[in-house]
Amino acid sequence: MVHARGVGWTWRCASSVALGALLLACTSEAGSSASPGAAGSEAGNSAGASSAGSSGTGTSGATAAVADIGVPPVSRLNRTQYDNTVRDLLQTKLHPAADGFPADELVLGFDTIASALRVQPEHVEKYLAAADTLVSELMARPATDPARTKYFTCDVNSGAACLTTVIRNLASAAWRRPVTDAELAPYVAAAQAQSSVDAGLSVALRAVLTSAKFIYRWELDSNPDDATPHPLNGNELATRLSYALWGTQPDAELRQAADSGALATREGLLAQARRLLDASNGLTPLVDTFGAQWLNVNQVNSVVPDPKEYPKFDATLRAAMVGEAKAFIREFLQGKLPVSQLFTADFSYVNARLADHYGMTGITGDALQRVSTTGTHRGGLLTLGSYLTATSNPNRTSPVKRGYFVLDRLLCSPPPPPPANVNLNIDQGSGLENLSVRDRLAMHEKKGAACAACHTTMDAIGLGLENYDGIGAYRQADSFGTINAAASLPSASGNTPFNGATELANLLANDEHTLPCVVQKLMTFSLGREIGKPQIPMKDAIVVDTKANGSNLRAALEALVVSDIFRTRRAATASEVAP
Amino acid sequence: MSISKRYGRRAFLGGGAVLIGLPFLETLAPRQALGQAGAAPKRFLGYLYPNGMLMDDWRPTGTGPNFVLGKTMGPSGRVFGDNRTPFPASQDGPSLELVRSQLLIVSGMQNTHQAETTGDHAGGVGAFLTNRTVPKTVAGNIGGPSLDFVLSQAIGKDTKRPYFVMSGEGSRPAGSLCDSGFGCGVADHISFDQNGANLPRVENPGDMFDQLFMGLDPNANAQAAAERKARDKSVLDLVTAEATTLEGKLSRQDRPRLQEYLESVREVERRIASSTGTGIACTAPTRQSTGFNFENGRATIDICHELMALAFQCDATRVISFMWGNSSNGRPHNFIDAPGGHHDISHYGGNADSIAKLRRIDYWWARRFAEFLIRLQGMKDIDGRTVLDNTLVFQSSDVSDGDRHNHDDMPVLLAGGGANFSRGRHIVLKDRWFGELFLTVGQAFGLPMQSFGEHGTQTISELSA
Repeated sequence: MVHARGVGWTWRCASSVALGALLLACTSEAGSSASPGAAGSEAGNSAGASSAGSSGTGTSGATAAVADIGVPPVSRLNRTQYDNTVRDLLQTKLHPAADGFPADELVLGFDTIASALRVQPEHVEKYLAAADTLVSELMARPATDPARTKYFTCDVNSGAACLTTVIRNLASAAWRRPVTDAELAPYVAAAQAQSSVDAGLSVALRAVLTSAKFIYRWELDSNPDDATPHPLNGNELATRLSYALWGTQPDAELRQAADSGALATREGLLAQARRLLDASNGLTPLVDTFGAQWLNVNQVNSVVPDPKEYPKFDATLRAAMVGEAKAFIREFLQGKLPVSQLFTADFSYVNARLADHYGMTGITGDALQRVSTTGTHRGGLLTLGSYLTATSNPNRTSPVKRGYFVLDRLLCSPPPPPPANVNLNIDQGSGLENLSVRDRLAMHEKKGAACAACHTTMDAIGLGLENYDGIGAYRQADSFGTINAAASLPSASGNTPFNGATELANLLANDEHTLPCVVQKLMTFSLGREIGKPQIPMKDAIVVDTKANGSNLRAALEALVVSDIFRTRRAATASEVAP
Repeated sequence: MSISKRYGRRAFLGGGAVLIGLPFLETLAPRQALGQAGAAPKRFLGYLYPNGMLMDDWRPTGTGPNFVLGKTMGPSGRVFGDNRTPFPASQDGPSLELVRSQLLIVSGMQNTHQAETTGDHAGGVGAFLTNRTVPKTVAGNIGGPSLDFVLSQAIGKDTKRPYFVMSGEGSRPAGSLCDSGFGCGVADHISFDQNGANLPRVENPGDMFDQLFMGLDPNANAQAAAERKARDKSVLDLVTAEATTLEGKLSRQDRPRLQEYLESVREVERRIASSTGTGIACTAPTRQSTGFNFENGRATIDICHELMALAFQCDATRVISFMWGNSSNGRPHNFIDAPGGHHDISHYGGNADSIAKLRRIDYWWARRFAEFLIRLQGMKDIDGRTVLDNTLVFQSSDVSDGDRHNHDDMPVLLAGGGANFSRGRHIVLKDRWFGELFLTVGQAFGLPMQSFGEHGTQTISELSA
């Protein structure tokens, strides 16, 4: 789509190529420098959050984008990745990062965005302390403990050769690649400078885990000044793959595949990706990180519904909602269902508490169980308790937030902020408090295009969900009377009316923007960077590949990991690096 | 048993107890005096009280030196008459009247207004010490440094902690968004480094103690501490030296990250080297290892206040930023019969019950804050004056009125002599910006500052008048 450029905010509804498709995108640009998401991202990717409408295919007037993999940034381990990595590296039950590393920032919705993963002195202090604890634990293990014998493969009192071997063993595992003699030399020298073998090993092994080579996932270019794309080497690719799918270091089999060159072929790479995804609990890392962040599942943990309004809301219900959403996402990651069914799925996962909340009968026990939602006013993402609760205000629903979520998370078309000097208070003190929520939102239309351009869509989606209260329970009426959940969405054939969640879900399920959006979210999460305009052709190719294989998340993951943007890298040009 | 152990145990195990300062111990005498007598360091504390204030209760009446404190800060023994249980005497405390001569109360100022859809709390937090508009998608990077960081680079470099960023409440669950889609990086942070990246908060008493006082710990085995230090130094030397094997191989986009890592390593080395206690004669507290327990009433805030006071007196740091709680937090003040989340209550919307609770919460906090300032006032500094005489405390909130979410008419309280402002007054600075105040503070601390944040282009002469 073509973005209107100009002074101040300008809004346009997205044009769409699909006949009869919805026109849900409301986009704006206020000059490139104000593009949301541009700051802090790598140079060359400053197109701003690319919208679903910007897929570039078939839109007249759009400048043909030149395919470019963009600039892959080095990423440090985030907290989850750090703890997973030391768990697999040292068989430890300790989780130093969760216990006190500085929180990682969510950028573009994810905690894997490299540009936001800074290292400040406070981080180094924690790395140092964690390495101390972890190495102390390792060295205190019995001599026959497999976690120890994995690295202590010789008698450390036998001399420098063994010292070198032990350090090499840990370093090559921790740094996710073979280690050179030149790299080891300062470690051995430092160890030997200590007063005892143990003290020496302690210093060297702690340094291995404090080193930048452990904390960051480096990828190197044979010529650092040449910006020509080239394939990652085996270990780099194994590392990307493992952190993308499992959030941890490559396991032994993946390392072996990297060393043997098996990852250099599409088939070899795909085989390893499938192995990881098919493993027992192999999807759990993606569910807990990508899935939960994409659909903002954990948000329900930090909202505080007003107990006067919602006396039944408690921690048990919260936990069940989180569990429901994760189980729901897991099923889609398994690849049995097309992405469109995110909206229209006829199942969910409930336990007795959640079933009671939803008005379902016959469910007992605390364990979540898969149930058919036919005839229950439930079904699909839009009726998940976690979504409905997290997008509500403490004491009422917020149709705007519910609509915003759909546009932002599922259609990749987040509306821009409201114009300056707009009073956003529609509650107490606004003079609108005696109007129904629907009537309050109608003010957006009365205020003219500046509000209506985006709110027409946002509000309509939210109003379609008004039968679900601020904690997701079904209701026929609120304090203003019987709920009216009828609205209409702008579409190519004018306005398409609908009434209620089911009809809304059916409309959205037919929208072409969802699959490209999901692919974009997967790319953002796993590559750790913003997907800018030059990368759109690569996204489109992954979408095509995904469609050819069932239009599901599993197919998207497989298409992604064998794509050029995942398998290759390049150096930045001088002009691509921010001064 | 040493004195410290006796007092320490009592101080921390007793319910609702406070840390009790120890009598001066000869063994804790400073190993090196900080300059000559008469030259005390200047200090700064940025202090955020979350969720705004009930402004009618907060606002003093009258301006100039003859102001009368409002009910929030005013006389103790306040009778609420709100049909709730009487305010417990154990939770009452002194009026700020007791440090009246150290106060400069400022009405009418404004801070950056939030540009994003909603999220006035998050916007107010991010802007608290930066006077910058908070971008939603660039969570964690606000585009410039906060006042505490700027000051720390000038006045904090001789101490173990150039800046110290602490919170009386833990972070929200990983993966959350805080307040209307803002990342917690801005919603939960008031301190930002020179690049505009948020500085991590220290959020539990054990960490606060370790980072501020480890080198002063009277119970630590000196040899063990020295060995640990030497080991840390060896490790950091090694990772610095070996990083050179990476340097030549990195592409343009990655070189700044290695530099950032190495700079951070160097700063940690500096902190370790200075951890032997370059302090003024002072008394280290006892380590408290358990986390905060808000249900205990005053215990959590008392620990924070005492650690801050001692950190200043011991010269462990000269610059602190402190968030008493997260903005929009849901902490219930059951101990003063104000149940329900603070943030929810702050949206009182004309509800008499919520207003009654909010009155109690604001009043309760003001008692603790008064005790803290009185403590600083009672601490001897190296120049024979008091710690408060050499400290500037800037205290305000993320929003003005919790129900209205406005960023004008902010409740600003300045205390202490660190910036030589003319105190013992209430002044009204209608619509002057936080950035203007921060520029004035920076210049008062001797920094060659020309502007600050988005609106700090001129200084405020009324502060010194």
